[in-house]
Amino acid sequence: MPDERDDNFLDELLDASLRRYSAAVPREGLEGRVLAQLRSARAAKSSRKWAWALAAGVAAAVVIIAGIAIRKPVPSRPMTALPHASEPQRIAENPPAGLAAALRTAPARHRSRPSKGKAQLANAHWPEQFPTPAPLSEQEKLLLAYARWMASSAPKGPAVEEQQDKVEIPLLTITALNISPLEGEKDNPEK
Amino acid sequence: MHAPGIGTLSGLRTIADAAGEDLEAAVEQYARTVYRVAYSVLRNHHDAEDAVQETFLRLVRHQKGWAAVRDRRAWLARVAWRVALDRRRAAPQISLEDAAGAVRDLRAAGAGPDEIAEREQMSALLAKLVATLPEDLRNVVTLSTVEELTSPEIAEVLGVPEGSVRERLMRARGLLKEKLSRCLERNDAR
Repeated sequence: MPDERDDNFLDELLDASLRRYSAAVPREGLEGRVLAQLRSARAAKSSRKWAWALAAGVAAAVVIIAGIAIRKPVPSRPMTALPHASEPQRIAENPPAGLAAALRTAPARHRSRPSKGKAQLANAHWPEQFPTPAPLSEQEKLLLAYARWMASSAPKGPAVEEQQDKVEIPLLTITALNISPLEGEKDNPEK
Repeated sequence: MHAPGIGTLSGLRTIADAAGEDLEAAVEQYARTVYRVAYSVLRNHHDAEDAVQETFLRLVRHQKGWAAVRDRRAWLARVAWRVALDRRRAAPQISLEDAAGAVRDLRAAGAGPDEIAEREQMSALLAKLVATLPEDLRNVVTLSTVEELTSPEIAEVLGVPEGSVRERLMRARGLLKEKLSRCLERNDAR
């Protein structure tokens, strides 16, 4: 009888203990804490995804631009004659017969493309006079007027020379030196 | 009618919102079950809550397949089970002898089974006895203590047939009773 009672007691104790074994109650607000962490994790995941997409887009754009810059053929600009071509340029464009023949027989050399800067220079309009003429300033006008007035009021150069020729210059006469001896030397000339 | 771009964007937002709502609903519905599964292994509130967080983070990572999961509670219980097993640490600090002595004293004092079962010493004693079971029996009895989980769900968590779960549960219970009896008799002899 005691064995049966012990057996029942053990069964009941085991059942009650197993029921409570995992019947743990979490701290208040478990769901809120989990959700907050999940939201931050999802936000971080989303921002990482956008960052990767942005980086991939930038990389693709760089590759495309680099590819276009490398492969794009640069159109050769025709050489245009300057409105006032200098003599070497004129010769280069219309070489004499001998020079043209020599150029034709010369070995082909690598011709570098004219750079953009040179082409711009070639196409630029060059002024007739350098520096470009500009109207005179007030000071320059005053200086010019003074110079004209001086030129008109000053005597003519040849007339001045004639007057100078007419002036009589007295002749220069040179007399002989007459030096008298000292008194001591008169008495003893030997000394 | 929306422009194509706007329609696509709003469609994407709808999908994202739906996924987010689905996730939040899963947390509201299954967080406590997941917690108890983790607690059944870890025997510690703090570790169990960490395991819950880890379980739902894994759900976020595998969110694409979430819609196709048939038994979601069992799926989450399996993830929580694995997370908890990975995090399992040392056994509780109360020794087997101390726990058995305390239970013996309570019984001698006339305490009933329910009263004894509420005590921390009894919980520690049972944890130590469960830990001595063979692994297949230990897993079944541990998951069976999570009251929300049915036998088919335990079978899905462990990847075994439902019949095996019942059979192992019977064997595990018999072994536990035998060990408990021996434990209390040993203390009686002292």
